[in-house]
Amino acid sequence: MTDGRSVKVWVSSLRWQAVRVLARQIQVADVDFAWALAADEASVWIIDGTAVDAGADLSTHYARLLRRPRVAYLAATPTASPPHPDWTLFTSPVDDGEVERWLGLTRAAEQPWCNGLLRLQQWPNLARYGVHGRDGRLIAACMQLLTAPIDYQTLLADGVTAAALDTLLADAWASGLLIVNCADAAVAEAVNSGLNTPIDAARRARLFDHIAVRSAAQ
Amino acid sequence: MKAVLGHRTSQQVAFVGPFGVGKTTALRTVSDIPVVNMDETSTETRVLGNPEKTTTTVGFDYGEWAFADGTRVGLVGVPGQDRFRAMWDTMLPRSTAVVLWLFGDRANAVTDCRTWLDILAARDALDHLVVALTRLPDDVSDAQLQPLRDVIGHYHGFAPLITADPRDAGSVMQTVMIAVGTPAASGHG
Repeated sequence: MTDGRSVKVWVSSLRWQAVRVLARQIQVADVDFAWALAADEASVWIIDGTAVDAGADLSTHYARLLRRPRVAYLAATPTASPPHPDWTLFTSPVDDGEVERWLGLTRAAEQPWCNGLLRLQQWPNLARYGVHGRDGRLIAACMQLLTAPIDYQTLLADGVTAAALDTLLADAWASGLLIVNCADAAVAEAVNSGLNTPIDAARRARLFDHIAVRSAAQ
Repeated sequence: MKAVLGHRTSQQVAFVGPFGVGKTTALRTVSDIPVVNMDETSTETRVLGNPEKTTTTVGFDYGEWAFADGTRVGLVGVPGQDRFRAMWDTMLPRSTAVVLWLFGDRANAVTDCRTWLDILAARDALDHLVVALTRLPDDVSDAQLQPLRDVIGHYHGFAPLITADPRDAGSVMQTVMIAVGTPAASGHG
């Protein structure tokens, strides 16, 4: 699952052993793991659901973030309800397989272009990518992305370098220029839960429209 | 014209844009044949106060460049002054693609863009279009480019808008490659 990018994990409290265990499970789940000193730097939060009032304050903060992390809300009982609907409830002990599946969705949210069909809404300013922007293969990749939906692996198979493509797609995603049509509803939801800007709202609508069409067709 | 005879190009890219933006410079930067041009000393440099601009294209400039696969493309620099409308009528419909060069650092960039897009639209020359902005850093923010994107969007759904330096061969080549390869305005489904 690792692709050279680290998963930065922030923990609300290490007091409860179950939190430490879950952090360890994430660390060993074949990912590049790093601790984040501040919540805003993290792509993953582990919240101790047994701590008094921790969840409510963090839920408010989470709702204000432009780029939201994936949140594991660790509770003592399965009947607990996370303070925010986008958070995932875990109860101790957490199954390793459950952690891996959840991390897979985290990866999807960080690099949404790796899942589903991609489409660019307009040309990026290729001049900002230096020599990579002058590579005919990256230009050809943009042409393909503008013409018809295409998946990430097919673009790589045509010879464009992964680093250059990832940088371009990350910029396009951040600017709202990239549409990702996820066939997997769970992945789409994971991607969608990280969106929180006006541009994201339009993109979210397109994601949901696609899901609705596929659901009706199935 | 001697340089042109015997060369077979499958495509032709027209460089258009306002006076002094760098069309001739761009063409000369990348052409791998001697550029055929018809320049005269420009009196407009005194009128417009552009001491760096000492000549102007009164006919058109012609050069060529070869893609990596050997395919050759003709490059035509079209004069920017309004009095050469007849030249636009002649050259633009013959061109496979157009690179519209604009001053990126001018306050009237949006107005200029709209003016030139109207010119191109009147000559049915919007299909394969790149808008290249000079005098801007390559990492200029998308927010700063958005007003121009909004104008371009009215004429062509997704014509490329990029920063470019007409003095830099790699930059000019990038505009040509994108112009030749960009999907037509009607090709975005």
